[in-house]
Amino acid sequence: MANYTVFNQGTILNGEAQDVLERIRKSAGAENEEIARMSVDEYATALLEDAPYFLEARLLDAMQKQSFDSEYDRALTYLAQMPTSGVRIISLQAAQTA
Amino acid sequence: MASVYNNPWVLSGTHRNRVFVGGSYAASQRSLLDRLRVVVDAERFIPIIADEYPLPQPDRDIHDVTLFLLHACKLAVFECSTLSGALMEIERLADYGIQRALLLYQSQSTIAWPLNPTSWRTSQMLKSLVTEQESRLVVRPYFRVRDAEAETRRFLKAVRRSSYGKLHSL
Repeated sequence: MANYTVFNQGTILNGEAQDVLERIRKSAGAENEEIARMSVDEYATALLEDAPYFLEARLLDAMQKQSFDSEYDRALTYLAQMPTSGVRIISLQAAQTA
Repeated sequence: MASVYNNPWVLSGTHRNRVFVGGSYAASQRSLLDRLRVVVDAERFIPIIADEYPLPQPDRDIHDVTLFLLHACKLAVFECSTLSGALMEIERLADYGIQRALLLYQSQSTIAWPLNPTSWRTSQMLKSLVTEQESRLVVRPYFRVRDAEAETRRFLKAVRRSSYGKLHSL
């Protein structure tokens, strides 16, 4: 799986998409009860459902046509593209292939 | 319709949870705004529909009171299939600090504007405004009224759980 370095509102997070997403969820959940109650799977699903309301339509359309290692990778990428998210992917190390 | 119980100078809720619901108030289209009001209320936001507030001097006050009500909201939902006075409100969204506005239009096309440029039949002025303010204005098509309701519901859910960035704590 791909390894990410992510900027989340002043904090640097490293790890695979699921792990990074879970830490972002916990951070957001500190001030949002609905997010606090979610699992990381539910959080990833919510981000994908909410994307049309935070991303420009043509950008979203282009990203929807891309393949990702997992839905966590897709959700993290969408989140990082949302102008208001405060989340940015600084670097991405692709998974090693055998 | 205007109610003596709605006083624009004493509004329910707070700036953060009021949603301005706008569009044409013509009789043929007014019922949609009522349906959207029900959705806004169900999502635990406070709906504000301008024509429900009394105007001391209607011919003179409708513009100023409507914009006053818009200014009291942080979110907005507009039905934009037809050109109406709502254009004046949409024009002011950025000035008034509306964080997010959902612009709905009726279409039978399965591919939405801007991917399908002809899907939304409206003025180039409005399209260019939306293009310039795409981070604030969300345009979504609907086919049936219940689709407009569903879009509004998803929009408000998305805003409510967007606990990050500038929308933090909305």
